[in-house]
Amino acid sequence: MAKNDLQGSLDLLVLKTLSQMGELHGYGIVLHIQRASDELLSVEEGSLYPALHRMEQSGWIRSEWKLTDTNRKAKYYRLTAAGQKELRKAEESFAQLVKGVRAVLRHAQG
Amino acid sequence: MSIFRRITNLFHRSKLDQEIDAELRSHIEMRTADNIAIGMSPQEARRQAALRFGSQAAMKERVIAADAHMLLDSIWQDLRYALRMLRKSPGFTAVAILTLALGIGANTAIFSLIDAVMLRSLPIRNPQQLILLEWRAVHEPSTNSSYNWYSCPGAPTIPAAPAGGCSFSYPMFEQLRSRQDIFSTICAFIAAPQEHLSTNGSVSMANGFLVSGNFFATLGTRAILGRTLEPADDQPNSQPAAMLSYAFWKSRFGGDHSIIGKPILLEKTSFTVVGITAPGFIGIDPGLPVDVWMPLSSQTYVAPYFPKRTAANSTWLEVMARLNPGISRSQAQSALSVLFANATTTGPTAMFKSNDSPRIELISAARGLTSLRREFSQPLFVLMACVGIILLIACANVGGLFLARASARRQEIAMRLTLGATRGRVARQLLTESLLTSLLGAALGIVIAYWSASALAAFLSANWYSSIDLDVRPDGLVLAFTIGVAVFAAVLFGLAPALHGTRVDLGPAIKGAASKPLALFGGRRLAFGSVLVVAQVALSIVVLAGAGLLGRTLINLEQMNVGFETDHLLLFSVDMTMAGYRMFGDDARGYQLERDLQTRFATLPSVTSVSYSMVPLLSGGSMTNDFKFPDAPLSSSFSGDELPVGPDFFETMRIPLLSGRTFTAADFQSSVKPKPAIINQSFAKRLFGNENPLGRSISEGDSKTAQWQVVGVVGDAKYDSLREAIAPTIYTMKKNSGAEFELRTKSNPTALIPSVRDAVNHLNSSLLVSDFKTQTEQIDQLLYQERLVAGLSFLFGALSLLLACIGLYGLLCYEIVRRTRELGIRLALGAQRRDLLRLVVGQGIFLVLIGVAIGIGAAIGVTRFVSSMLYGVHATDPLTFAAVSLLLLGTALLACYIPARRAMKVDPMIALRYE
Repeated sequence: MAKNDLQGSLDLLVLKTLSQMGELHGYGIVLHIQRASDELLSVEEGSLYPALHRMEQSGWIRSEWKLTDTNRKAKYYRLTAAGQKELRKAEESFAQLVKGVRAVLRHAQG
Repeated sequence: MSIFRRITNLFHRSKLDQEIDAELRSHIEMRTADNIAIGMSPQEARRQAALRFGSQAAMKERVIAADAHMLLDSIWQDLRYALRMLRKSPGFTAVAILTLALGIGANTAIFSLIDAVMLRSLPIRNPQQLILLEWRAVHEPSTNSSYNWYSCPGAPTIPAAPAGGCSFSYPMFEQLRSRQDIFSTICAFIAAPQEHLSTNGSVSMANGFLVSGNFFATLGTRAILGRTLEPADDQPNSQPAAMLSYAFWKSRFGGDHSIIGKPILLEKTSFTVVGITAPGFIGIDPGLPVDVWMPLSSQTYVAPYFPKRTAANSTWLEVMARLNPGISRSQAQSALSVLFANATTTGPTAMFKSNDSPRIELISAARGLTSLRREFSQPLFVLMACVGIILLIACANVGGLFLARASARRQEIAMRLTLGATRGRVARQLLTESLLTSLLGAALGIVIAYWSASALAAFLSANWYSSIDLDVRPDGLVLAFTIGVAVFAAVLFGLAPALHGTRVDLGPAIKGAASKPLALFGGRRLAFGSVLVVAQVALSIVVLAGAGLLGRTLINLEQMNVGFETDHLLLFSVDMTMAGYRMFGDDARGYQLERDLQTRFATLPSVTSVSYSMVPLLSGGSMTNDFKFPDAPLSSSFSGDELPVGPDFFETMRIPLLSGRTFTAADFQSSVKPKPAIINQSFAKRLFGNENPLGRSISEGDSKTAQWQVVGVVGDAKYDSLREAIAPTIYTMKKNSGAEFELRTKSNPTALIPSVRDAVNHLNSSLLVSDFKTQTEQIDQLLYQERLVAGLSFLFGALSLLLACIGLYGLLCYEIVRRTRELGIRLALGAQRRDLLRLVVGQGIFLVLIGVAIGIGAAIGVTRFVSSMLYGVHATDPLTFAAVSLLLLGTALLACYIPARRAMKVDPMIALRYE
């Protein structure tokens, strides 16, 4: 998937990740998306943090400084109720987008 | 991240930088560790990890931009949250909003009156350029006659030139007008109130204003219909022309457009209506509307009582002008002073001696003339101070409420603090709530203010000698004032609770434990609540003391012995000018008509006695003259009052005759000189000391001939003013036309009004009878200002008392809830319920006593500012102070007793299990 498309769906990926994994720091989110997409998707770190801050201020996610398993200080993010709602909306609109793109592609082939 | 921190971040970028740096660092470290785990060298591992971020600086910028963008959203979020909190406790919110609405509304009401009377500029072109001319001199001028309709606005009294005024003669005005090097435009004017306007056979009164031809051009106000008066209208041989004011045109002529060019009858003279003034322009004296504008040249028809145009030493016209752009005010002042001094100290008509150094001052007339300003500025400022204090009380009151609630919300606040909100964030939230409450209060307050300011304006209009048209609709300034007051109030009552409320000890608060037991008013938060109650009590003592002093003043004035009997007297005036009698003319026909009326009124049922006089007693009007022995030098003369009266005056007013006799009918018929006159006791004492005044002669002014011969001495009676001491007064025989009648009745005087009208109509249907009132109503009208101020300050006093007691009540209620457990323990340990009552009441009264003591101290400091408004009571009158203190203590006792009864009902078992 091209870089721009990924950026548009970044919010969706982050929210979904947090909803599946509970609490995660930024690096963890990057790793999870990479792993879960079978290395197909790679999140640009430079875009991740502005997106995280924006989502936090929108009230979708909350952050807290904690220690990692390896005793390192890291900022952990978790989904809020508003974030849950936002995730459902994002999933729906992404499904619509995929459906639309597929239809267009089929049309071109036919 | 909190908005508070975010705002700080905008100014301290490094803080945010550090936080982002820390986050990124931990990210890079984790990646580096993983890279090493898959076999990279440490350097390579770190380099690869950092590379993935691209430019760190650019990314940080984007994070910060995301923060700033959220600022507005977050304010909105706070507002919604505040709204939700206010809705959650509607009782609390209603009390707070209502209290603030009263406080803010009272302030806005008084301020909108101050705005209308004192602050607003005239609705004319460049009002700040308009100036009024005033003369100053060491001594008063000697003039043939002088009219001072308005005292000069604004100019402070100058000790070196104590004499001053704003009226000039017409020739002086012409000289001023010729100085086109100084003035770009200049005009003269004089009010000619009470013009008779005849329409369709009926006569009504109109407020007239005589203006020179340049008046409207000088002001720069235009006609909404037709044209304004012009110099061509103001020539000695011009056809009489008139302009109508917009309101008058609407009310009296139904806004009829075809009126332009048509004639109207003023004082039986036909005037052509040439135009209608703009709607917003009611004249140059704010609040006092003019109905009809006429050129000065028509003075001979409508106001013949004014001096002749040619008279060089009769001053009667006021002069307004605009200066030429090139000339400064001080340049103009010195040039005009030279002109004025030359004209008034030389020649046969000189008004001043050369060492009187007469000169001209130029005063800004941007806000117009000052009749109302002069009349109302002091009472308005006193009332403004009053409502200012009310606002402080309201703030302290609501502050107490918020404080108590902040305490009640300790768990919620502690929870939010634990969850990572900063104190600033929570404080901001609480402040948003108080600001919202305050603004809601202000919105309601504006409604209250508009309603009450209109009522006040109506009261003034009903009691002033002419109608008052004050526009009290809130304008931009008033709105700005109100919002300013609301924000000020919100900070005042919201800040302290916000700061205190967020200083929470997290541990016990979150567990919901009662704060530590239990010293008297233990804990800083409560001590602060007590301070608020003390402040409210002290402030309301100040308001109550002021109200008490003003109230006693009113009672003193109303119950004063005025020297005659004030009840069962009907007063009215009979206007004879439309029946062909000259106003103020000394004519035998007028006298005969008055006698006929008097005889006719005397036959009306229930009338015991009838008389008439130049003005009714205690109407505010009087005539003053200098008196002396005929052969004595002028320097021995003294100033006294004179009242021309008709037959039976003393019998009707019941002013006691002390010696000699009163006027007889024969006196009025006879033309013997010196004329008989009756003096009051003060006059007798002043001129004759212990000698017998009967038969002695008196002269007026510098006359050497005996004008009056004393035939009787009567008791002292108030004449024009209740406050001033009774002046030496001489009663002379009234023989000219135009009279104010007095009817002494056996029953309700106002019941006689219809039969009086009939009697007048029957005699001559062209006579106008008006101004019916009883003598008591007349006195009320004279005291309208005292009644207004006393009434309002009473209202404000009651309001402040109520607020202070609600504050006290609230504090004690809160105290009892907080101390339920302690009270329960006390009961369990054997305390009597009576003791609990005493404990709670004692605490409340303790605070009240402190407040009263502080309040009395403060009141002693400030009541002297109203001492000039007081009568018969000293500004630090101990009786008044004691009375208001007792009143407050009594009310406070009640406010303490109700919560104290709740304390008595505490069940020790429940109280102990509580929590």
